[in-house]
Amino acid sequence: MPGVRSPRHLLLTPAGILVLALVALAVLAPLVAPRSPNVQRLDASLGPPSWAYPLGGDEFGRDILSRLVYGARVSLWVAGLSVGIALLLGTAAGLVAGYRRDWSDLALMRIMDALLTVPSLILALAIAAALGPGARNAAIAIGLVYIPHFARPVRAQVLSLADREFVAAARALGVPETRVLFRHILPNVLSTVVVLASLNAGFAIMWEASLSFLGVGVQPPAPSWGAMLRTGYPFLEQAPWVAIAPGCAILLAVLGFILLGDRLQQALDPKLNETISRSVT
Amino acid sequence: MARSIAARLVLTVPVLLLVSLLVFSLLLLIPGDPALVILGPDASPVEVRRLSRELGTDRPIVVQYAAWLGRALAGDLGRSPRTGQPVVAAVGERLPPTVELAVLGMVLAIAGGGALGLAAGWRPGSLIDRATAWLATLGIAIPTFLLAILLILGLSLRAGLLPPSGYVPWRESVAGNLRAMVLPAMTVAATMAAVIARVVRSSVLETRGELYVVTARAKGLSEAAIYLRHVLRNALVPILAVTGLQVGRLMGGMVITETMFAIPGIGRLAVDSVLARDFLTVQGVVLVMALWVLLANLLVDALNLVVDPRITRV
Repeated sequence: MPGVRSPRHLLLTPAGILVLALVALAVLAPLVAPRSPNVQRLDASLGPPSWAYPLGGDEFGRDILSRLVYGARVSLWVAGLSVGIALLLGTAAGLVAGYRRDWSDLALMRIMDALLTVPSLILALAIAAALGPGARNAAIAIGLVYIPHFARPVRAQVLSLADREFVAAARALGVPETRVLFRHILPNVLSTVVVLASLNAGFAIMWEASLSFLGVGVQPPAPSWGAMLRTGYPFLEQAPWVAIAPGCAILLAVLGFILLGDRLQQALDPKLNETISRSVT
Repeated sequence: MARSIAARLVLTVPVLLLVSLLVFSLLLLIPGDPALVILGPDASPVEVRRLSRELGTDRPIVVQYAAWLGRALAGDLGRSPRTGQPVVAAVGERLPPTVELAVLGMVLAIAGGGALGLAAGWRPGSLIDRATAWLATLGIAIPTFLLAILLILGLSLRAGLLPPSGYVPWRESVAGNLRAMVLPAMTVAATMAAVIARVVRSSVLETRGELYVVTARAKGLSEAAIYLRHVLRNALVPILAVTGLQVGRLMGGMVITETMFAIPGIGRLAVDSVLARDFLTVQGVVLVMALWVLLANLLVDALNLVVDPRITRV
């Protein structure tokens, strides 16, 4: 098919470069950041962008650029942990529900319906609040809320795969059910899972920032983009860069993962469009 | 039609039960004694013991849930230890601004997203089509709070056109109320408008090639009439579907929007209650929002029957 390239080439698209840059910043933070993210210099407090402070100083005179660089670690960590939770539990639920098609399917899917009925940000907010503040608890909350985002599309795929000849053939040959599920069906849903992981990583970064912005997620002085926005927001009129810089960082990170997800989908699984756009709400 | 709607209603009952279980189990997630957490460290042991008994935390979980559900069905979600007000009353009081904002946001999203999608689908590959594609991606990726900040900064602090935040009740001044709602409604509408624009574009593209459109053109109908009678009407079905799916997302956006624009709605109430660790009120808000999403989806299914006669059951 024309236009379909190997996933390796995806890293050289704008989306791939954005995501790679984000990962590089997070890994190399101590080398890249011009200053320490927590050193306060009162003379730089709310200072405009300059050579010494390329993105300006925040309300405590900390270097915003350095805080953004270290903030990439928080964002990626939360995104990784939450997507990991949602991916494992959601894929497992989708596999079981789609393959068994019995009461477990009915029960699991009604649970997913219930999870999708409560607006996800509110649910994440309530769970994160109950668990207590911190990056790890925010990640758990987001991960739990995102389980249906994996379970539903995976189930839909398994449903159609289970009727295909190669599955029927494996069964006819007496291959045990679990082996059919893991060796014949699972490999065929992996590309869906990869696409979903990228899309949901983008939304997880946005949700972590939202929770931290509302005061529930990562707490100051940890350099989280959402928390930086929260503390910088009151100075919007005097020093707009304090809030706008982390806002743009969040936007770029989210855009990177979402666009990468779109590209992956075009490359791996063009027919998937419908199921994914229906699940990511 | 009434029968298929009734059947759909029956199907929502198990979901509703599971939602109630979810809301109830929020209290189970709190580490330590929920009564102590809810009342705070200054509470006297007598008060803590009384709330424990009221919440039933000393009894088995199943019994606790049954008791909680019974009270919830009777309209009793407890009393906020923070304000002393019954949770149901507190949520009801804060509902009007939220409903207004949600309706304005949805109208704006459908009008704006619909118009962009129609224009883009009509001339695929044109400048407006490509611009719409970019706007739609941006609209999905932009965090609500960043959009709010940019709108406040641009249209309010710099241009001075609209108030940066605050809420004016209807009864005081209708014009003032609407002026204060413009920026929040735009903020809330962005993501939904983006998704609608995408869906309408692909619906228009699909419809343009249909035989009945070719027939309409062949019998000499004007382009405007084709567009209004055939293309637009077909775009309504996906618009409705997306609106139903996006209601939850819209509500999530409202939480941030109400907080940033100081609108005293239930989203703001949720954040205030979460920060004050007032979990009984949090439960109330979560339950109301879930009910809202369920109702919106029922309404969408019912409207689908009206818009598209080919759909006979939901």
